[in-house]
Amino acid sequence: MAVFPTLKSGAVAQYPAERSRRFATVVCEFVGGGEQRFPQFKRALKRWEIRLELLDEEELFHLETFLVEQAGATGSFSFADPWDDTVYLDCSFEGDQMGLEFAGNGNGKASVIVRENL
Amino acid sequence: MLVFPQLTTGAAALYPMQRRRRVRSVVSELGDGRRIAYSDVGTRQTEWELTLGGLSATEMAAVEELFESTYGRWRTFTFLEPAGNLLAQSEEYGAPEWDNGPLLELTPGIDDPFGGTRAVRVFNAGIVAADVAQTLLVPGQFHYCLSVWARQNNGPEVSLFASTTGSTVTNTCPLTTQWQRFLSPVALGVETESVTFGVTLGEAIGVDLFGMQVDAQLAPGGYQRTSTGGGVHGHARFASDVATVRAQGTDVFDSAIRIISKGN
Repeated sequence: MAVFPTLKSGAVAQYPAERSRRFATVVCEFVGGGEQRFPQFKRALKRWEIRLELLDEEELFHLETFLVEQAGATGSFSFADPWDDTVYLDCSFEGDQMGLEFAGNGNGKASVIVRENL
Repeated sequence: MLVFPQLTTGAAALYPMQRRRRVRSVVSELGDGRRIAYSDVGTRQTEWELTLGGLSATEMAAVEELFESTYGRWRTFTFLEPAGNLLAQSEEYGAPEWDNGPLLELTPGIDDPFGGTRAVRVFNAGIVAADVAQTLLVPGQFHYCLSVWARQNNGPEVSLFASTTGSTVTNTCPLTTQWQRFLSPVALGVETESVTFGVTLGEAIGVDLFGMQVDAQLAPGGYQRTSTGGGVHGHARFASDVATVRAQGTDVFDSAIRIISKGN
């Protein structure tokens, strides 16, 4: 099982960090204003938006390599929720690309979105 | 009881907040220029957009816990209007929403503090104290503020009270012949699912009352007249299946939540 890489500090995210919970509800609305609702998920799926700053080239390289190893959104890996350290065994990148910014020595930036799979 | 949580400060929401009322009209414009319009009352909806900024982990966890419990948009919860009066029929004390003592005599059409004639003279013709009261299906552990304008008719004082199973708060207010707005902060501190708010009149006491209001916060807001629908929305829902929280720092969280309530 692949594991999402940590920074040299041991952290996986920095402030500000975003975490979402997602359900999927089907809503059938009737002409008279009534409605029926059906839940699609049995529990909330989480999604993390991770923005990283002040990374050195080695840390950027690890992130980039990990994305390639996972073939972008295709792969699955375990991810430790930086909010509460809960480990989610089946997560993926939401997209197929990762932007890296090299602003100076030890001043790299990266952002990535990780989502939990059901 | 699923209910949208109150902040630890006792505030119901934070600025900025948006509220949007939505109704639907079915309009037919005829060839001769006439227009026929019907109101589709079944589709009435109120929507709130709450900006939750600088919340603690405990406060944000309460919101996320509610979101998990409702499965996003699926299940309903109780939402207390953050910028309005929770009571229904705030000036019609004879309406069915009110649960008054049987020997209370109500005389509407009395001059009110705003220059109108919407106040009510209340006289207790009984030999025991009697209440003008309304029971709301709201959690007992929240903070509230009960307020009412009152003036003396033939009674020296009136008592504002809030009561739930196992706890009661009473605030006795001395009256004068001038209108005064009396306040009673309410912190009952027990986990119940209904609270009765009202005014108690002693035996053979008469007072003029106007504009009773309950706010789900520590202090009263500006008075808001209500009719059949008060500010307790028992079938509110999250408007989205996604709830996003941003951690700005240690124990500092931001989010924006949209809530809808149909039928009011």
